[in-house]
Amino acid sequence: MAAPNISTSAVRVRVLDFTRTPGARYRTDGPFSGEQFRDEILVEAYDRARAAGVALIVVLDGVAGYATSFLEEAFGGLARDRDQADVIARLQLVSTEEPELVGEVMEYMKEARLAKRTQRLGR
Amino acid sequence: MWKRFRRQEPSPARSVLPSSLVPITAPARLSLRDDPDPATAFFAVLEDYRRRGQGVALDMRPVEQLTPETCAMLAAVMEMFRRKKLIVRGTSPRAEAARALLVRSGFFEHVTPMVPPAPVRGDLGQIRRRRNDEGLADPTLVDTFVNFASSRSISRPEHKPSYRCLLECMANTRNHATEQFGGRQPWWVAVHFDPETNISAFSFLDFGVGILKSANIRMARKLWLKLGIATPADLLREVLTGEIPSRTELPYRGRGLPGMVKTCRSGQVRRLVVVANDAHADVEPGVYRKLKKPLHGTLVYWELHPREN
Repeated sequence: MAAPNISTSAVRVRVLDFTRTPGARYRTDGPFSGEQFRDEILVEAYDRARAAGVALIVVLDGVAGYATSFLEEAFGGLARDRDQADVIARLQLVSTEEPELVGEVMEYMKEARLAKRTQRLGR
Repeated sequence: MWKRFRRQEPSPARSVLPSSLVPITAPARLSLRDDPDPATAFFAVLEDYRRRGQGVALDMRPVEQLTPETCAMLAAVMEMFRRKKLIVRGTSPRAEAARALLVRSGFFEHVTPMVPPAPVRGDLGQIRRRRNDEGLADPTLVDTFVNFASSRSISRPEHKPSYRCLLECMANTRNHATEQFGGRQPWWVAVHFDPETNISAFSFLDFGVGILKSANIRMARKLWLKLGIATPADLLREVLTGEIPSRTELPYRGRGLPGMVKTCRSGQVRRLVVVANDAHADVEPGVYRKLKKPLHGTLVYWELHPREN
């Protein structure tokens, strides 16, 4: 699959517009969860970016911090919900405060396929 | 004069205690972090009396070393006694640093002092603590605690690892501390800032089933345990490094504790210590040991050190 053309206007999302204090994985865990962020913000933004054929830029900076479970459920969850290869190609993460987050989130998205297959096999 | 002074300090002997209270003397070294066996033995005795509905009289005078995580645990245990409407009376340590820590931990909010604790000179640290009955992962509270620590000497970005660790602890309690998924298990969190060392110490604890009972330990490993081929310390190490998967069996779950270990190994947080069931992990030096007495629940402790320039 060809990488989205990022020179055209991309869809841009800031986690800070969702909350300054991201929570844990599921809504049942508490407020501002990764699940909530994915369902209310990320999926819609991804679908819009895909329909327009542009990149989805997610800015991770400006918040108090991230739990592993938030990042995995939001981004790994997006890759499980949608076309994983396209998600990986289309998503551009920006983190100047914690640059290592970019690699971490990419890892979650890449491993999402394995998780999906394991779930399908009923394990 | 000396005799009169001595008489003013009641001993926790039976004669000055209501007969219903059982006298218990704390060990000189009370530290789940540094010397867990005496501490877990002490907590096991307390837990035994709490379960039996028996009030206690705690003689804390011999305590010479008391560390923040044990203090947090002690205050939480005393709160459990009080919630069960059990009477606890206590003395305070003779050692000044231990006394300051104990007084500021909230211990005496649940324990009636036999004598008012002697005053403490100088600034011996600040403690912020909170209990959450719902057992939810509360990011606003995490932010408050991290801010408390970051309002001291270290710039804010270095506190992001603590934000991560504290949220993971809360999420773990939420999802794994009860026998069934989604059960409600209260947790306690405390942050202690030491102005002498500029170290912020985070303690998180719950009285749930413990990490080893909530982990997905397969039959083979259980057999190894019985045969003595593996120890609880081995299992705790495997849980912390992610070799034992989450009990959800979803491959993308169970990354929280291994993530905390990585954070410690990269030096972002220091002195990560996990005590659960009958195992103790001191992650930074990689020392894992089996405890003589199990701890009721789970305790996670870590420190933030000032930046080395």
